[in-house]
Amino acid sequence: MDDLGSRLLGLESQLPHDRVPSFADLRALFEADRELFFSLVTAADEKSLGNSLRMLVRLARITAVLTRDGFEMATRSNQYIAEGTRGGFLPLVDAERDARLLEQLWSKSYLGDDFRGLKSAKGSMAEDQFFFGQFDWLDPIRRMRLFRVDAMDASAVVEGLPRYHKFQLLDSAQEVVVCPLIIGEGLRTDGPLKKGQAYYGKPRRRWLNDGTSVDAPASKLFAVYVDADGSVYDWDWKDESLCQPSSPVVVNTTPRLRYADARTDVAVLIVGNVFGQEVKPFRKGHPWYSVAGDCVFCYFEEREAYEERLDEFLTKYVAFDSGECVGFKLKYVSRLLDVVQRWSKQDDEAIVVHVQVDSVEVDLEFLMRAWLMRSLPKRLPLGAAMRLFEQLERNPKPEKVVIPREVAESV
Amino acid sequence: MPAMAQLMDDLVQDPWRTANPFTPEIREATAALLSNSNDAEREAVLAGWLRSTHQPCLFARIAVNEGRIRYCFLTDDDLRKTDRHLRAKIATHRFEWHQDARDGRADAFVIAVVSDRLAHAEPNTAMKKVALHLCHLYLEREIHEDAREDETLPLTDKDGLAWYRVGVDYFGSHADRRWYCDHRVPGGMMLTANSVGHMAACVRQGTVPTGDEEASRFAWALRTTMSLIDKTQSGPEGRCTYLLPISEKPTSRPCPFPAEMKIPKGIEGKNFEVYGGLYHTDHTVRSSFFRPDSDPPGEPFSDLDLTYLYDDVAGNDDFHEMSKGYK
Repeated sequence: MDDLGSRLLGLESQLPHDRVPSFADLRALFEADRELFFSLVTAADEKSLGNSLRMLVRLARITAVLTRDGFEMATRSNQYIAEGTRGGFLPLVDAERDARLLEQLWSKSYLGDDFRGLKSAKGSMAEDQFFFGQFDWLDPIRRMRLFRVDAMDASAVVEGLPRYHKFQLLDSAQEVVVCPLIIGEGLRTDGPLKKGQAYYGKPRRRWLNDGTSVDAPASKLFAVYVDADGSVYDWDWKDESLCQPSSPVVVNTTPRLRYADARTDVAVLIVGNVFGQEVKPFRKGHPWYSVAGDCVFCYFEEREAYEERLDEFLTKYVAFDSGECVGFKLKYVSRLLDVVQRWSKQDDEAIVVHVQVDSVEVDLEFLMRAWLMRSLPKRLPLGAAMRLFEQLERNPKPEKVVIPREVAESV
Repeated sequence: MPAMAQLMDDLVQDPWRTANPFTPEIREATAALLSNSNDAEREAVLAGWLRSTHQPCLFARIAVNEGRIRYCFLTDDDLRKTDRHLRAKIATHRFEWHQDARDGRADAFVIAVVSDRLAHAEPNTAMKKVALHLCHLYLEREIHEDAREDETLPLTDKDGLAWYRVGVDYFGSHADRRWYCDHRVPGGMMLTANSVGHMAACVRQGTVPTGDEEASRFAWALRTTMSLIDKTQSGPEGRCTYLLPISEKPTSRPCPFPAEMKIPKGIEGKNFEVYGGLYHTDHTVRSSFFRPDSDPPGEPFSDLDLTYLYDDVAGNDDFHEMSKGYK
């Protein structure tokens, strides 16, 4: 192993073990070991690095691009970012201090301190490479995508979804977006999500509802689902065997799977509208509609779970500890709403769709029945779905799915 | 902070200019710049201006004659677009300049705003905001008036990468026939960053053929700078910068020129530590330039520093940062 390799290895062991590295870590490295900071951009094949170091390298490379191309400070989804004039997004932690570092790198004003004997690294090959080196990752970073969580989905995360979702978003989802192994193209067969993507990867931890983490589960990958505009609306563990491009099981299903390309699948996820938000108690049986995902999430129990797809409409959530179904996700809601709205025109059916000023409200059970109707004759055993119906019916105070009116009316 | 397009809307035409029309050289060069449709033609016009004796800077003349200036032209079309567009354009040209500087091929950068509106605008607070904002888009930080704003230029030499701090200077068409006429430029507005230290290092490397045999790059830089100051033209209120006779302003250091160096007559017996001027030569955007009248500010400066060019002593940070370079 060369000198840089061993120093990187040493650096990896110093990176945080309970969160993803941030620009604050890069800033600290700049202060502590400038030579190593500059060297990050010269690190060899990203894929050979551990996820933690790989994320730090990614941040360093984005920084290098921004200090070549110029940048603007902006706020997106309640988070400060620096946006390159030719592309590239750098999530910031402390807007003032982070901006100062970017300015120092832009103007090289950090050299003032160096010269006066406060720092050691000056005029090194690594510094030269950081500012002027030609690399094949420069243009992909300029084309990188910025993912964020839609306000409605961010609200669901802190307003009553099982708490582990927040921890998974802040940690695992960010990690997988930067370090994907597999990419799924096309999340639906039609509509806006036809161009949506799934990022599958192996984060280092699995989070529990109490905010602690355990080792990542064997034979599972973590999936992050994002629409064509970059709105992340769902993130969960699922069986690794169902995420392999070579697997015969996944042929002819959405999404179409391929191996991630470190040069082109470049994205970063910002979570400023969830980070730091207090999480409210779990809301059992509450249906959470996602505009970006055109789906409804519903959990009967607050237990950590992984996803298991039943068909193109329905995915159930299976508890890690017991294997029981603890919730489900119903997709293509706008299609199903169309069916329910047609039913509701027949008064004697007693199927009511409430149209409010801003929203349309409908019983989740009706949407489920619409799914059942669309899916008949069933190709899959109905047992799992029937148990979901039973759980729904046991809910003493069923709540309605609230769908923004513009979405409902666009059906 | 308002965007450049908004700031441009606040400009008003300069009524003073009606009674004091542009000099023929500024008028003709401005017309040529405004009528050109591509940067190559604009560069030819501006290079002609920088090469001429209409502007006093000897370093600029050396740089333009040796092809060591890199240009970024911004037109009225650019100014109507977003700040992001302006940033991107400036940054792209700046990066190319830095790359060439690193290889010893360039020392100077010119951001020239070619705009009829700017060329004929009144120098007032609104125009100062445009100048400050342009500087902000270039340097990516908050810019203060009456302060030195600088950046840093790389050069690869036999020991590796060195960096040279370089001050940014402001020029405008409105300076024509005003007391600060040595800062006039055709076409509207210009920011320049011209690293004397970088050029001096390249002189030593032999990449700038000045025809000068001098062994000391620092003495060469001092001699050229003093010659430049000595030759500045007189404006309506006298010379903007001037050398001070040692007889009136004694020096405390030994003479920095090597005994064998040829010293032009104009700088013989002149103070080599400080010089005088109507404005502070280190400052980038000078508030005194942005007043509708043409009256110079009160007391001139008599302690403008020259020692940053040659005095290699501890504590002279400007020498180490601007002339010797970081290594």
